[in-house]
Amino acid sequence: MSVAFPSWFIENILARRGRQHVFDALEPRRTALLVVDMQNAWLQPGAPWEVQTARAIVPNVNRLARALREHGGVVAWLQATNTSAGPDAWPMFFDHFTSAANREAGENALAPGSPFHALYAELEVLPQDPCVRKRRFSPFIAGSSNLEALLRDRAIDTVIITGTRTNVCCETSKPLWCPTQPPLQVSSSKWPD
Amino acid sequence: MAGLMTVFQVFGDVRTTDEVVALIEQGAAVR
Repeated sequence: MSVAFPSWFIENILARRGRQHVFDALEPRRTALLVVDMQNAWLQPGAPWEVQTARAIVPNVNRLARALREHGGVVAWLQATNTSAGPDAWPMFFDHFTSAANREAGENALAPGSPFHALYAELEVLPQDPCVRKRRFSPFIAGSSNLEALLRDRAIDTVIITGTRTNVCCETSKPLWCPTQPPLQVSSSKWPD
Repeated sequence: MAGLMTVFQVFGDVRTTDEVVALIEQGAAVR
């Protein structure tokens, strides 16, 4: 799946920054690829929140993961995780922003052990890759996940973000604490506008 | 990608897969 940015977008960035890209280099050993929510709940045909374009980026995600692992980086697979009760519950979202039917389908799909909670089978997840459960759109909101501690422990200062959906969980997965580099996002997928 | 573009114009960088793979390989090569 190839991606091209429209000219208006590039022109806007140039007007703001004076250059298109902020950083022109990264150190792979201090870099993590965050793969966001590439679970069956979004990727499996007929799934509760199917995003057809998410299946199209699977080869790109696998390519990025292979390249980063080969050069010493971390590949972390994020999994949205919510249940109807207990520490994984998210009543603020499910009480107010979903219908009753969607709430039941959502909570059932994102419960650990559900087939929809699992990562999509065509993703190349290796045993050394951390799989991180998150309870909110962002893994970095307090109490959402242990991702920040995991990245700090491994001296990660740069993240590459990919996955689904672009304008929800990928955007909110930007760790603003990265000391030297901002997030870098590639080839995400979203529902059609 | 409208949502992505809006935010990453302000904070973050948007790259294609080819560009990111090249950055990874270039980063490893300069060690």
